[in-house]
Amino acid sequence: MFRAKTIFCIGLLFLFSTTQVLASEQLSSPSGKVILSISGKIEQHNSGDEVLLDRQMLESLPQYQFTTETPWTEGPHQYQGVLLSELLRHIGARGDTIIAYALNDYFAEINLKQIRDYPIILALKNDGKAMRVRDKGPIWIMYPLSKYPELDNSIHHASMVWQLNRLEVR
Amino acid sequence: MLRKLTLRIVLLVLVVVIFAVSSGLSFFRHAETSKMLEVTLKTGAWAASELEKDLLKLVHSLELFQFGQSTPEELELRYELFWSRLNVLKTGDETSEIRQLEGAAELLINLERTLRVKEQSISKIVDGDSQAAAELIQELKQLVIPVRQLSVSSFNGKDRILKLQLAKKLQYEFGVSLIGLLVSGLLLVIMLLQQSARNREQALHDSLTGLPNRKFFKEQLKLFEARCARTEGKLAVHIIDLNDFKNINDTLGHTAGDKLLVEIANRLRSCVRQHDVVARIGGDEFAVIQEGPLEGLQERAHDIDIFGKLASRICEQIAKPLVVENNQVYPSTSIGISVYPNDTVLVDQLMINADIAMYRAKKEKGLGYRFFEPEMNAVIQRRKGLSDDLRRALEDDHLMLFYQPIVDLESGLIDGVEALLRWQHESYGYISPLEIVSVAEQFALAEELNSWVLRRACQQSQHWVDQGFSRIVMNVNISPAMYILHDLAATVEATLRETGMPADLLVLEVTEDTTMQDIESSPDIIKRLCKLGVSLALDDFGTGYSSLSHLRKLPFQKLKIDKSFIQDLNNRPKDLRFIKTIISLAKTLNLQVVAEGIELEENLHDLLAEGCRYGQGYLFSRPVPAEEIAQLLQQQAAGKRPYDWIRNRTREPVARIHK
Repeated sequence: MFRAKTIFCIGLLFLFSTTQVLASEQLSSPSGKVILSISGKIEQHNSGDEVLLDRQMLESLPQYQFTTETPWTEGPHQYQGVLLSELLRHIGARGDTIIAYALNDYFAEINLKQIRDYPIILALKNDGKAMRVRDKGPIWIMYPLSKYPELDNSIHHASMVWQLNRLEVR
Repeated sequence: MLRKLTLRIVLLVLVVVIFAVSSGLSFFRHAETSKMLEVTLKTGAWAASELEKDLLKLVHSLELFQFGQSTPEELELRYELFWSRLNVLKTGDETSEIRQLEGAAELLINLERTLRVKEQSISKIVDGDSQAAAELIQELKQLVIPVRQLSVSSFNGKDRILKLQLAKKLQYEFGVSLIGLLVSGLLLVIMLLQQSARNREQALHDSLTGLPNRKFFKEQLKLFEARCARTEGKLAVHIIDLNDFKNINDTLGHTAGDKLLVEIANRLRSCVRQHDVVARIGGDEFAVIQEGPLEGLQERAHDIDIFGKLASRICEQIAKPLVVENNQVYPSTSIGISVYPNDTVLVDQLMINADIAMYRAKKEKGLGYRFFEPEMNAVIQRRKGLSDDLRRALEDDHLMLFYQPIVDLESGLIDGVEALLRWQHESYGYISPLEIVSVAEQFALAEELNSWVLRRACQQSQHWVDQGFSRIVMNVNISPAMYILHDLAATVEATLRETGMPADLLVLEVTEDTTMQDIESSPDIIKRLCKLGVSLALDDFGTGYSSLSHLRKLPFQKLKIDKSFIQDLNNRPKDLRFIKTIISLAKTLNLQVVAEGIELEENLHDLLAEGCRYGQGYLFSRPVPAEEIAQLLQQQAAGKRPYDWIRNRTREPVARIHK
């Protein structure tokens, strides 16, 4: 059974000091390597009908972190990244569902209504370090499984896409 | 009661439903868990097959790169992805099952070592080292077969299949144990229902005879009543009481009494039809519900015919002699019958009516059974009403004492008075002392009544003394219950002390009847009374048992000749024999004689001639209020003789006789 047992969770939700005005600001274009593209029902665009984001753009958004265990790792780890809901608001997403695609062409459909009340992040760092592809990076959709045991099931596990590189809003 | 029962049933159903639902839920939960296990196994198998796919993609990417068909970024990505997949298999709960497969650990270590060693060669390959690429392809291809094996065995390997089978088996076993649980729960509920039915049976039946008890009888009666109300039918309640059962119990013992009751119960059962109800509703009291024929409205005469027939049959059956513990017993019974809806439509009243009728039957000792009649109830209600009112009258001092002078026939002076109870009831009018006493005794008011009479009489006597009148004797009637049930001597003593009345002025009148025997059996009371200095008078002498032994055993000082003997003096020819005998008896025994009920002057001559010194009756005075006695006593104190005329009248005939 993969369920994380005796999980000691530090569900730390933490706002970095670099606050930034989010919406109503014209999106800039990526200067570095694009690691995430977002398409579909979105209001903001910076390349055709898509939003392209590099690491620096993502890291300039407010950062959150929490510590959790997962079925694919040993022991608790601290994950840090962008709040999915904030990112979607930032780019003016207008849909209830997103499809998350991975570098290895894995994909998962995520019902946003189901996770509305949880701080789901697009993790960019694991224990303070940027994640390589072999470490499930550069972006891993991370659920705070330890703090919210109700999320710790196969449905949500399937949605925790690692090596994320594309989001489609439906 | 019905609501309570409904509540209990609802509760029971609720408990059963909760039990079934939670059992079902736990079964489904278990099934779900088993399914989850399958999912786990599937996710493991998925990871293994992804490993194979990522390896093949890496090899493919390397081959494409060799031919310039792919980019360095693509190659690097494939390499990273394969490593990532390896990491997934190496760590975490999800893939722990895979790692336990045979040869899996070695393979993973082997893969990781290869990747670490070739970390450098990737950058060489990217830089265009085709030799390194060929080597890596060669090396990776060797791994394709064992990775494929891992992937396949993760799907159908012995362990996995066994585990799945085990999970299925566990689920099956759980299902079986759950069925066991459900069956045992069901049995428990059934046993519970049976036990409660048995308890109910016990609670509603008499253990000695096995007949329904009073409670059950009443429930049944309600059901019968409801049915009759619907069908306009009739039913009769018979209340059957054994005569003299107490006597049988006392003389033959309780075991014999019980045996008799069982036999009576059997006889009753044999008398009634199957759907009629027989119950034991008290010690020696049985009851029967008899349903009338459903022929619509019947004439009352017809009812009496049908219901009376059963009662008569019961009487006959019960009256058959039987031998109980070697003793011949002749049981007999009294039955009261009340008919629905003729007498009443109320179930409780039906039983009360039948009870009243039963008592009447017992009293009359005729047929053995009696139908209820409304007048019976009126008598009962009058007595019940009187008892309530008597209690209040005693508390509120609404009773009165009248006094009848007892006259010295020689001197014409008042020697004493007899206190007589008077009660003017606001709705029933004048109530006779006999009825007052009988009501008081029936409703446990005898002690209060007697105390009240005694106290009031003594107070009055003292009052006259206080007024300066000459000492006169106060005769008070005491009801028999006082001798048997209560401490008469103590009451008298307390009253004398309380009122300050001299004991020698008090005369207690005892009526001669069966209760005399009870008084005799406790001579202690009489002795104590005599010790106090109180006199005893035997009242109504000659009408009761007139047993000389009473006179011998009890220390009476006075004898009151019953008025019926005085009446004899008015017959023609005059009958003096009894008066003569009684007076000479009294004289012999040294008893003072008082003649009661003197109504005619000529009686005086006869009585004086025979030596009777004292008398009372309408000739002198009716019983009158205390004030009138006071007037008479006042005359007496002033030297006048209230009945002075006696002296003239009595002497004349006597003189004539002497002529």
